[in-house]
Amino acid sequence: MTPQTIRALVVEDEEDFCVIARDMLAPGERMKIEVVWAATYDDALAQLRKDAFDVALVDLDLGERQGLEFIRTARAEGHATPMILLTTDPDATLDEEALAAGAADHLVKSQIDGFYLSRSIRYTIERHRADEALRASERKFRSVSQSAHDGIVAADPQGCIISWNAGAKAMFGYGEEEIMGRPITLLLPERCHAEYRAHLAPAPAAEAGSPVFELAGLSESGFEFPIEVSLSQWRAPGGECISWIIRDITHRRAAEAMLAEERNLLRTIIEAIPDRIYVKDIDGRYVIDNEAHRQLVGMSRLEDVAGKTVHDFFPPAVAARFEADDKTVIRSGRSLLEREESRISRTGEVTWMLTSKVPLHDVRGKLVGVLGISRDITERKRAAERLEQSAGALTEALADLRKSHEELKTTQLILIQTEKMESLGRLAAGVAHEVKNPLSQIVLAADYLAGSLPEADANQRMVLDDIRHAVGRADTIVRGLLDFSAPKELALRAQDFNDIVRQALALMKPTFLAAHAELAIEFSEALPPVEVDGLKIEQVFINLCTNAIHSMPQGGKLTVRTFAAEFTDGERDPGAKVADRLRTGDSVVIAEFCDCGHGIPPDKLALIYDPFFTTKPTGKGTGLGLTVSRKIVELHGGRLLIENRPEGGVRARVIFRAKPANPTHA
Amino acid sequence: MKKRILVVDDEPPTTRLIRLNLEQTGRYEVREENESIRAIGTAQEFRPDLILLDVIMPNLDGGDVVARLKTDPKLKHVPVVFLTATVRKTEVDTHGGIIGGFPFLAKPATAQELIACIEGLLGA
Repeated sequence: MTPQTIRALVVEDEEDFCVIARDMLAPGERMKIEVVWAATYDDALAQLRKDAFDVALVDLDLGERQGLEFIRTARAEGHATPMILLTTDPDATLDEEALAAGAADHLVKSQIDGFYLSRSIRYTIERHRADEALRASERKFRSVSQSAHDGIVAADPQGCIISWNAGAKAMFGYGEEEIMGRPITLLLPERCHAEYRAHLAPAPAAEAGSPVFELAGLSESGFEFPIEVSLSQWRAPGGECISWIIRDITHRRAAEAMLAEERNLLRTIIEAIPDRIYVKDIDGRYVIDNEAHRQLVGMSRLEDVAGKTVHDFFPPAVAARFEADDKTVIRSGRSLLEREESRISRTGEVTWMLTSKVPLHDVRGKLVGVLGISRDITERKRAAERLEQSAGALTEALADLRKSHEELKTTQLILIQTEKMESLGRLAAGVAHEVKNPLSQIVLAADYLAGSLPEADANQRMVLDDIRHAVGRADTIVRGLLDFSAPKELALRAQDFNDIVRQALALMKPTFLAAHAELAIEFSEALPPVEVDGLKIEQVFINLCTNAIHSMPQGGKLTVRTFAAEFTDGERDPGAKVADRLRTGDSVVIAEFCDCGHGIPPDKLALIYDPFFTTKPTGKGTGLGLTVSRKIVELHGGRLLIENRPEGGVRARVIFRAKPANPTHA
Repeated sequence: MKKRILVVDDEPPTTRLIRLNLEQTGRYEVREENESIRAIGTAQEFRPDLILLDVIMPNLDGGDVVARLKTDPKLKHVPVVFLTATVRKTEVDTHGGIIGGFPFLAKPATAQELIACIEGLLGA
């Protein structure tokens, strides 16, 4: 083992002692001492400043200056070298002075030997090292303490502050010099003192750790703030010392309050939402849920639900389905969104839910469960069904409405047409009466002149004939107007339809001959009787025959046909009266007049029933024939239908309701 | 001996032209009356063999005149022929020239029709 080398500075004005000391400190097994001699005060200081020494032996008497002064000066300059004061005579009072000046030991030269000196040196060095270590530790503690944001405060067994750091100053406002020595309870409002003492009471066992508690702090300015105190106690000469590590928890408290508030808000919202909300862990156990969900599972408190699974609340098949969905979400890490699910309750009622399940992750992104939101859409489903039914009903109603509207339009058209015709009729009747008297006078005047001019020449007779002819034409028109405005009374009588047609054709025979028209008659002999005013209907047939002849100026064939049939809806006529008009399926008899003339221009077809409308040359027609004819037919509740034939010419049909064979069964 | 014909119509040209046409035949003596209210008095005084009577006239229409004639024993058998502008010729034909028991002629009637009608009632 290599002995430890110690450098020792011997400050002694007499070299003799130095020699003696060197001898005394001969190298041993444990220690080798290297002695450096400094004869004067100044020399010694120079050595200290230049070299490092493990120990210095300082004589009290250094000539002009005292060894104690040297020690003080060296300490003042910051030299920590441990020093042993050497004196010639023992002096008890000097001990204290030496210690106060910074000496580690005080030896009397006459009393020392090698063993004693080396032991003193060794002890001094060891003590010095221990002191140094302690000071380093203190510096370290102080450095840590001062840089800490927490307040670190220590108090002696009497509870007076002995340590105060920057954190405490920042927190409480006191400077180190003004707080040192004052009671630590100064840092607490009085109401907290008892509580604090309760924490102090029994000295805590080491293994129990430091108690941590929250109190109110009181600043120098009297401001209170929440603090967390970590208390430790240690045994020191004179009793238990204490230290506080104090944390200002104002911000933490505020954050906690805010968090609690947010939590409460969130909780309230979740509870209030009518949708069912729940969270399950990855094993399918409920963690939280809301009121709506608890209602579904028949529970009133969260504690009744938490920790349980769907199997605790739902029938096996339903629970299995829910569980499978949860597992799918957990396995895939993907959401199941807006799934419609139906469920049949014990009472057989079907309920519908719209459910979304999303994976739930903690703040570190780890999958921790499933969040489910389920909405009862039963009412919505039912409403949709009702809406669909209503839409169907509405469509039907709309179709009915359209049909009614069409019928109304037709009726309106008929009413307008009827009103128009009746106004025109009244006007025509008035005009006809007023015109007939002058016509009468003209024809009588012409007749008189013809009789009084027996010798009249050919021109005069021709003029008189022209007058009579003109009166004849005018009278034809006036008669047409009168027919049109004739009263509506009908002399109805059940009669053979064919007889009426035959009568009309007989009257028209001379006209047919003159026009070189060929007549083809196809009568159905088994016709039911019709109840009509025969004379008026005869006039209709005459009008139709006249029109046919006029449409065939070069002659041609007119086919007249009668037959019984069933009325079809295709044979519509908006001019017909509504109340007594023919309906589809009615038994009817029909007289049909088909010519092979020039037909009616298609754009004029709609006008043929208008009074004074005619396609005939001037003088050939009054434009009242069809107007009057239709009116007569309609008065009988029948139809007059006129259309162009595809093969050319016109087909006119007069349709009447057949008189039932047995009226009592009508 | 000429037959006596009374023509009652509110329009003088009508009565005049009927008179002229009938007189032209040389077989009739004609009296015109344009005020229907005076028709009965004129008839009582003229004692016609036949009366031609307009239907629509102011004050007293043809129907009223006939009704009063029928109350006069000396006139009630005198034939009356109505002349009217309100009836159509086809109706005249249809009803055989009789309406309400009286023959009538629809205006405008020619002289020939007028004479034929009168002769039909009084004989040629």
